[in-house]
Amino acid sequence: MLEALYVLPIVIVVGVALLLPVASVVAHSFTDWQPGYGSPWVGDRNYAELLQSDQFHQILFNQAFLLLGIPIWTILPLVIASLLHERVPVPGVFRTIFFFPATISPVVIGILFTFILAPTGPVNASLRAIGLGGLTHNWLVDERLGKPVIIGVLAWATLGTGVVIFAAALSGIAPELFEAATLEGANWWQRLRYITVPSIRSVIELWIVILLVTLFVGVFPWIYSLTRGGPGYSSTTIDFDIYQNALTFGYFGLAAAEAVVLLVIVALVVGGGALVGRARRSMA
Amino acid sequence: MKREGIAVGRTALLMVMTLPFIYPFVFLVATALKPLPEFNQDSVGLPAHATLENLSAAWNEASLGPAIVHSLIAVGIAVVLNVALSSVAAFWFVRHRGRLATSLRWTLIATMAVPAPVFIVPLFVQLSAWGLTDSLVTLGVVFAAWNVSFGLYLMYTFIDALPHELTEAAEVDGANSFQLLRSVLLPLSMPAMATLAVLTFVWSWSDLLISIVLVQDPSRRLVTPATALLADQYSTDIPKNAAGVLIAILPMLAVFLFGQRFLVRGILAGVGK
Repeated sequence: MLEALYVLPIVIVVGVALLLPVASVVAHSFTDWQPGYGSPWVGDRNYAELLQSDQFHQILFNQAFLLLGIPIWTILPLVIASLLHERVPVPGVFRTIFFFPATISPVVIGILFTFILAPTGPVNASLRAIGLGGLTHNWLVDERLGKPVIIGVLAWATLGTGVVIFAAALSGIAPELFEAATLEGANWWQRLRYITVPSIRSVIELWIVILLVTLFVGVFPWIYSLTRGGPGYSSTTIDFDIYQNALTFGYFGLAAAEAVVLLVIVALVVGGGALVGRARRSMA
Repeated sequence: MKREGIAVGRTALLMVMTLPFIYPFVFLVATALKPLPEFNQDSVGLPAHATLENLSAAWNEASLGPAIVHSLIAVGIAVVLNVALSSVAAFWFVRHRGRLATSLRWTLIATMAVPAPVFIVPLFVQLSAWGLTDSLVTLGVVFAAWNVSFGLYLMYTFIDALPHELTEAAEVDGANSFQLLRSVLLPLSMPAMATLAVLTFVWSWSDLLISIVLVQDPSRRLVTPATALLADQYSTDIPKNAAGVLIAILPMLAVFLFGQRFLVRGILAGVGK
């Protein structure tokens, strides 16, 4: 019985820090939550307000727009991992260079990119230097450019982790497959298309689920550092808006409803990913 | 045979692809060392009159010295707590596979899917009511709770894969569960514990959302929020902000150089490899 002491601490810590807050956020999403004062029951008013607000529609559109990044964030590391796979000297050095950014705090990378994308920063300077001065922009305060820029910065930041994961998956493929294909005259692209991708399909799917979850729950530091959700709401995401509603504006009830919506989205993404994985395994 | 040689074109292509991953750091160092008037003249070139003034200005203005100490305290608590809680619980779960224990294990691991933006607001409200905000100890415990689901998953997978003969032999010799844990399983689990320690360190050190909400007292700020807030105040002094960023990145460079293989191992364990 004393052995229960091995598992009690973890249950208490997770219960108090994660599970009670989740229960509390669900309960308070139906109230006009005023921490420290009363929280009168308001039924589904927070949800109705959220679903009818133009800002929230814009936020959902922003999240959908960021989904366009998923092919980029998947294909780039896949291509680099497969380039590194054969006949390249010191693949470890290349991998290290790509992987280092994964160690740095997202918000710190975001700040670094605000310097690089500044009006007088290196991006605009190099555009001018090669005679493309007309393409210079104030990248982070332009309503049309905020989201594409975020996709680009995330491509930079996620690449190394993707390369590490795909490189490990590739090393599990029998080299004979590649050799046979090369003897048959398959070029690099055909080997990627017909050997690499089918062999590591489950890893690619898992990576996409990881990206999807990150897109809904982990973009806060990027938005905070790059655009602050602006201009207006043009680059606000759900996680950033929860923070803003609760801690900047004091709309705790609204933020709670938004958190519940986010929780449902994440459950659907993770559950959907698990179902796809199970269906694939049972077919195999 | 062609495949023995080096693919020259492909290697050259990869070298070009590393440029966008090297240049930002070159630019960062150059900017951090450049005097502001020179930066305003030429913001892209290498510094002609390198100075350490930006570094000392950022260090003082954002109180980065104390901030590093605060980060080390909170993150240190998180690392120790996460490794301890996860390993001990994983040991228990490997020996208890009843239906109740299994569903408890899956519930704990499933909290990995609870996003920080969901739990942070109610947690903040609750901790404020208890008077526990603005505390580095609280922050360390919350960091641990945030990472313990991954820790349990990692340690359980690792301990479960150890040969069962080892524990059986110790039990035949009359070892009780505490002796078994202390003298057999924990020493064997060192590689997994090191991996978990490095990942918990990096994830907690990098966090912005949890620390910015739970610690609002400027005199207890951690490095990551301190750097973010230095660059925040509509400050146009990019060289000084760059110096802050450089100071924030340097400890991570050290962790990366020593811990890269643990980071790689941990990420691969996370995707079941």
